[in-house]
Amino acid sequence: MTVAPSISVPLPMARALLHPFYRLTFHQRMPWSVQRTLLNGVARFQPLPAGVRVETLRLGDRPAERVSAGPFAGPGAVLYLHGGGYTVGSPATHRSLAAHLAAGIRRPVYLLDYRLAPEHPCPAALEDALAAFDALTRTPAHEAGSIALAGDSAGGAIALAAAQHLVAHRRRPAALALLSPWTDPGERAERHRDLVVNRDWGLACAAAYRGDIDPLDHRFAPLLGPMEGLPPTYLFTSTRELVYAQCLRLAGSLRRAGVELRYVESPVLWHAAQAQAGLVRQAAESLGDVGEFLVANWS
Amino acid sequence: MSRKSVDTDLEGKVAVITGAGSGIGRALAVLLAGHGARLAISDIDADGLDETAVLCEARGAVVKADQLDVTERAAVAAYASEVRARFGTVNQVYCNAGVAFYGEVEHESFKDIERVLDVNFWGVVNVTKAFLPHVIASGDGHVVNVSSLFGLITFPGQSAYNASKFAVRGFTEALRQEMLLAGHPVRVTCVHPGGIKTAVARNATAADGLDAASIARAFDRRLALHSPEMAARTIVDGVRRNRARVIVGGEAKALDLLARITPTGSQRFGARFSRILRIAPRPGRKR
Repeated sequence: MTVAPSISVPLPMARALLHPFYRLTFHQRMPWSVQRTLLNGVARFQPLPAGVRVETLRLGDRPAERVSAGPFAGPGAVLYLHGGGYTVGSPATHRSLAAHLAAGIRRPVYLLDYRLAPEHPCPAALEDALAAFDALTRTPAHEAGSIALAGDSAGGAIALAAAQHLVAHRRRPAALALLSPWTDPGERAERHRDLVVNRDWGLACAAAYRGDIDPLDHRFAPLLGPMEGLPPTYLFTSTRELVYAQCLRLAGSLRRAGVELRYVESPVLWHAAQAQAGLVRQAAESLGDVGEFLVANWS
Repeated sequence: MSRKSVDTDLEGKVAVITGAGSGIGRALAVLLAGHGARLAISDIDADGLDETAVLCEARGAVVKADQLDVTERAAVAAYASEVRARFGTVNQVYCNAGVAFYGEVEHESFKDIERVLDVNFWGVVNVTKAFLPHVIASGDGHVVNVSSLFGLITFPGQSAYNASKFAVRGFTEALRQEMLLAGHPVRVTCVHPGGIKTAVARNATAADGLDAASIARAFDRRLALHSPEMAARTIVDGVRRNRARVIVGGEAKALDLLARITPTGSQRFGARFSRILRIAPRPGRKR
């Protein structure tokens, strides 16, 4: 079910507003701390749908938010990993996305405030995600098979890496939802920039996140990791984004591994556009589609 | 033909596409998927092929994707039977797989020439012959062989490629005549794309001592004028109109015209042109 945004900005206007903002924020000379502050500040303008509750809690060792819009339609929950190049972003920047998703699926969405690079390079974020998954599955309300992993951009890659780890340990999540996942951070994009991110910023993020581990390490680049046995996966990408080629490559690998795949590419939306679900109708609809896929895999 | 019949005539048809892992082959697969065709796609590059399969399935198509080397005659024959068994029939065959190669006759090795002929010509022959009985049996068949602009005009450094693509053209045009004579329900189209932005130039090899990458860059920058999607639309449009020959791109049409007006003058033109484009090495240049 799509939860429509309270105000809907037409696509060209949304692009015209977002592009300068992201271009400034993701400038390679901008310190990480300033980027984080800017993103958190602008996130205040992203409206939440009516009736959404946001509670803070701790998952594993990290702060988290439980975003829900009751009553619940059934068992199941989403552990959501926000995007932001492994270096920026927070539950605040993705609260609107989580709220729209939670209202659509009528189940709780847990937003994890995982540790960011460069202070905490790979695999810190992945360890936080796995610890949060453990913590969630220990609560009486949820079992391992009822938690879906989701994330956008860098968060999508963390979700995929976490799912690969869990599958290797025979604990399959219910489903995976990857929105513009950045699963091969070391790859040099062919173009210079898209509406949201640019190549220099991406390379700086990748270098910060990689730390001292091998660039071919699956925890850093889950695109190179094992796909066999992964749960049903929803994969969104925009044909206009820098990571389009690697998203398509990921889709090909998932298909070959026999993973049940729902691949959606949009010629009009941008990188991880679902983060603007509170402002852009098409982004909300895309998120509604993600929600329907998740619901189908719970029932 | 009414507009409506044009839009629905591919619904449910079984199309075989070789070289579908990238470029024109991928664009053809995606376009036909959007028109409701069922697809048997193949490529020697399994990674690219999986991506094409995902793109087609996202458009709701039924897809059989197989890694295939079109030069392996026995494998191609077995593949044709598999496709027939899976879908029950085969309507359209797009022999699209091909490789590019740059080398002058004086310097290129026999092995290089044979490789180009093996893929570009024998690949087309293997696939066409393997599928022809099924295409005839379908009662509504079409063989589409992808030659090249270089199957219409010659170019320095393209002797092997020219030979392979002229051969495809001769083979395909004779096949069309045979199908007409025999009254078989099979249409035949020979496609001659001009400069298309595909991986064929980027994956090209060159004779020893030449830098394939720099030649490919020159090609991409100066000659690749059209998108694979544009090529696919032109090809499918020509197939629907049962054209014997489909030439993709205005520059290809102009060069074809030139070659027909002055078959020998066009050779001189091609030689000059290649020097202007700096794709061919300068005469007398030391290796």
